[in-house]
Amino acid sequence: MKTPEDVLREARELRWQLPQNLHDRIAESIYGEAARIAGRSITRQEGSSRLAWQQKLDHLLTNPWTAFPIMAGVLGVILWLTIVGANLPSAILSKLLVDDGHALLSGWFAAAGSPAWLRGLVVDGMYLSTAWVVSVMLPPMAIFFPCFTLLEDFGFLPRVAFNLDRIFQKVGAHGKQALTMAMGLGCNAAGVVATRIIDSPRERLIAILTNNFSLCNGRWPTQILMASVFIGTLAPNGWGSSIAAFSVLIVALLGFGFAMLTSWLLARTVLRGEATSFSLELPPYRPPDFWKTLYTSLIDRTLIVLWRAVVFALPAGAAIWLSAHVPVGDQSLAAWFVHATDPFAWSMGLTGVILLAYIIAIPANEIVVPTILMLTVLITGATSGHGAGVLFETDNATVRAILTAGGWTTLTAVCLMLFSLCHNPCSTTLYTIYRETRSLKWTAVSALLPLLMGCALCATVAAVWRALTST
Amino acid sequence: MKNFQRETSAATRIQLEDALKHLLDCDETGRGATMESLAGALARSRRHAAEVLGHLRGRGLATVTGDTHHLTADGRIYALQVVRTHRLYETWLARETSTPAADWHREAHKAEHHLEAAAVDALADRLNNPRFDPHGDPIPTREGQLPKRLLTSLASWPDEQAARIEHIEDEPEILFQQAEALGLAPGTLLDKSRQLADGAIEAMLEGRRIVIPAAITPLIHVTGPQPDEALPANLGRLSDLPVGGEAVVYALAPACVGPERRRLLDLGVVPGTHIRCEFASPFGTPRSYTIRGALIALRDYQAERILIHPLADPDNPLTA
Repeated sequence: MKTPEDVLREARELRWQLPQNLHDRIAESIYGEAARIAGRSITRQEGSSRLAWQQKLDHLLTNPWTAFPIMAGVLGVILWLTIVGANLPSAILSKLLVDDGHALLSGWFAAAGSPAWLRGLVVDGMYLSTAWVVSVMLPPMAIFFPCFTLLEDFGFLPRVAFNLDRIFQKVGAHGKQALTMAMGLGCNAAGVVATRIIDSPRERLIAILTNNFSLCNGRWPTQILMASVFIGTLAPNGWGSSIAAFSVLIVALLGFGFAMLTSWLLARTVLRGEATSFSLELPPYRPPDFWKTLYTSLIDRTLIVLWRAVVFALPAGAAIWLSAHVPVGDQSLAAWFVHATDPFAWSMGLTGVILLAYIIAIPANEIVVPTILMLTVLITGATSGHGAGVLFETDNATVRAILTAGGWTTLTAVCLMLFSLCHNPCSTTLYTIYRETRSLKWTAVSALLPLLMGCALCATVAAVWRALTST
Repeated sequence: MKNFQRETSAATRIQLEDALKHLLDCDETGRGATMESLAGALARSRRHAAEVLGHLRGRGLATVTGDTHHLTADGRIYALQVVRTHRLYETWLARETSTPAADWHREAHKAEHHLEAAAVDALADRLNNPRFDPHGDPIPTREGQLPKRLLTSLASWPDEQAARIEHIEDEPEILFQQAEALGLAPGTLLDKSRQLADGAIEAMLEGRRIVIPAAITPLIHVTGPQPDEALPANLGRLSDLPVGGEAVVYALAPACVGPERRRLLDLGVVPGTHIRCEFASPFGTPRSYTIRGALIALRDYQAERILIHPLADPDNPLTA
């Protein structure tokens, strides 16, 4: 008579005689059986093979000779549409919100008899910087995101990920990172949200942490302005704008290189053991539903990003105004900071003004250049026709005059371009990274990693530049 | 259970636990553990080894007869627990993370000295009490049971006879990496093996002819395959399927583990699935395949681990 203990002991011993991969085989059989049951019950339409035109299109989009020119062309057209198409609406918004709106609000505050500091803080600080952000950010996003969503819905973007996957595989990332990086050209916060399409945790984290190396549309104006004001003017007559455009392209490509380098480093060090598995579905091509796409991309991407930007621009505007107006001893807070950080900034080829601008412009990269101009005017005491602590924009020649008076050289412009590429993401993006990763650690990494890289890069460039020019 | 946790420094504890593992290994294989063998295993001086052995005897974990040391009953329980922790941790790394196979041993070696017994049991429950670690080593059970197995090294396996890999020694690391790069993993079947002049072994591995260097063959332990698992003769790999070619999935290779395996199963890559290779990316990998009506891109290293069968094959019950 066997006791229960005997049976258990025998079971334990017999367990060792089962094949090692028993569980895998059982799981496989269950999946196989499920597939067979489904196969018996589902009738497919005859000729389920892919349609001939879809096959032709796939061939065209993935062929080594045609794939890359088409991809580059499409990206080029979208960027061109965004930059050119945004000019007019941006100008209109700027007229409405910045010029008219500012004057109107100022008038109301004056009429209500509010004290000058309140009007300065609310109207010149908070309102103006928010109006700035909206008028500069809204039009490009309202063009870029719907274009992007249309291509995604049509099925073009998955093919781009497919074509570029080999490069991303080499650095330990996912081909879909190409898409999130392209999205980052519009807005890094949107690029970070877009990483949801990557379903393996490690590759998704890599895509989030490196998205900042895509120059977002808040940084394009900085790049273009610096390139045309300082680098373009070095070129012989007639070549200025081409050289300027070329130097911006170089910076953007450098960003791609940094993204790859950082992905490679992350995948081989801290993210080495994170769960990963590759999969990429190439959906059939289908004509996108234009109006639905327009609506959802406006609501989901444009307005959400814009709302976050506004939320952060309000306090930043107040900070900018206060830093220029709160006196500490005989100088404003801003002047104290600028003078204290000048030597450190000099070692990176920058100026204290730039560092301060990057700190108070954390909410939005768009306001970096206006902040720099405003602060330079404040520090050098030049007159600009605007009150101190007021953001403004002006033509290239004036910009050059103001900045040269602030001690700028070509080196400063080059280092600013590099620093603009390589610094902490804006607060909207950081907040989004926190929302997506739910981790303060990764949010901190995403802020500090590019910042440290940018400091090292600028310091190296400045040291080499100075060594070369001093001889 | 006795534990060094509170009494000694972490560094000493690691030395003592590593020494226990060495003694267990010697007891299991019937070799005697000596001061010299322990000094070699710990990569320390003989004096140090003697000290460690003295420590173990003092705690009643080891006894000595002549030159050779053996574990006491208590020592064996302790050593099995350390081994159990190590192997369960490796299993966890393989199944639930994507830690590269080459790192499993090193990571587990760090973890084995830190995990509490309760945490280890919880880990075992979570993994459904696995019996073997990813190298094919049996994991001591909660009750302290460790089966003895009769395995033959591949170096002494007869030519032409099919063999199933049961275990691959994970040290030295460099050789293990070579074995892994060849696609060898516990559970894989070798067929038509033939010893070459220099001791290397040429064999068919999942539809591909490979040469296993002589240095690796002693690390690989094999048995005869189960009667029901002989591989069909015309087995191939999805990565070798030409563009436009069609095939039926036979199985996923045993080397395909963890999230990677689950993902493929989720996509419907299961025995019997019809697959057609549609087109390749400009760089050659990934390639796109029609799987159950969807167009799915797979990288080459994934396709390499999907074993396929030609479409119309009378021998294959799955296509019939």
